[in-house]
Amino acid sequence: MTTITVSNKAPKDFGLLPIPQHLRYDPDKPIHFGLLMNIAFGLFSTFSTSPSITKGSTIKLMILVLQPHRICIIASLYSVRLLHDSLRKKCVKLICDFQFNLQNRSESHTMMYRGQFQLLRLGRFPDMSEIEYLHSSRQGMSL
Amino acid sequence: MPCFRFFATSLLPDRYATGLILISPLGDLVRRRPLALIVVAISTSLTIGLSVTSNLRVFEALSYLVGVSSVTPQIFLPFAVDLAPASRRSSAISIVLSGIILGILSARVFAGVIAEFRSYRVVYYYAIGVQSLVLLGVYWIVPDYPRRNKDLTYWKILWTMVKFIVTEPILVQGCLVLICLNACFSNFWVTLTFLLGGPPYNYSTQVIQWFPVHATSDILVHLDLELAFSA
Repeated sequence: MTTITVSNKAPKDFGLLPIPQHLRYDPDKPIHFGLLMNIAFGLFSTFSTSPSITKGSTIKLMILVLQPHRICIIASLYSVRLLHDSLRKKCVKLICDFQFNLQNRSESHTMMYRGQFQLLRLGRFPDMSEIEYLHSSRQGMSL
Repeated sequence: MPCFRFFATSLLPDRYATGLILISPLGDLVRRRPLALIVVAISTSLTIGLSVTSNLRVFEALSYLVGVSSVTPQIFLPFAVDLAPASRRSSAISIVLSGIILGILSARVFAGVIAEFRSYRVVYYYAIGVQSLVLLGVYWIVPDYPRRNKDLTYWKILWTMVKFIVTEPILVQGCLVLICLNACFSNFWVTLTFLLGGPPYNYSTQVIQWFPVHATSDILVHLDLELAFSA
């Protein structure tokens, strides 16, 4: 009898699956969100990204934003599609440029902001053929 | 027919957008634990279909649905923010974020390695396996947490997403910066394969597929730094 009352009280997912005791919500004893649980969250994200290995997977990066930024994700998706065909050579050139810059700079943030500004200036980049830029970036790398 | 064409050409590659618009807002509306469980369960079971079908139409449709349902990271990211104490919030975000980026990059490496030796179907078997593990993990690790906004409805959430464009200037600025960043990243990784495969590099796919590993180590170093600073 007792077990029945206890199981009736126990919260369930979808009214079906009992939630493990240590995970139940208790306002008096909030769950400790430690490093391990945090890493577990990260790993869940890592491995639930795998199903879209196929074509559209790079777009996944648009997740780089917090929940309130959903609009931005959507905007990114479409802007990337538009940009992709017209600008991709320039974009790759740009990335090679800042990989070259990176050799002297280890701060990731500097690199990120530099990248943004360079990207914003994209329209002003001179047109280079793929081969030309590859050679230049190669020379850059070997320096 | 034009409708189908629209679906096939424009909606299919952006299936992910559908999930982002329609499913991830639910995180603010319902309890996150069951939401995460159901989303992972759906995408796992649909992946089974992907791995066995030999009909292109079915494959496309399932692939679309899997894309729609693979919004688990978007559920975990804000959830981590809610659960973490205020002082650890930024490092909590950075860990989950690193997990996401690792997923994107490592998935390519794994898929490349598997597809080199076996058929593409085995890539999906792999996806089914890891997703089942994630499902078990979510059940045993993710705590229950009451729903946050009791007065909010689904339509109200969708409406606020539109409203924020005109009422939150900082958000809009952040969006513009992120659009640039993401465009940059996306264009780099998509184009890299074609670029390295052609002259003058002529690298084989086996070589190219290891490039993301290089980026992965970068992410791990940054994560390490972030943790060191936040501690």
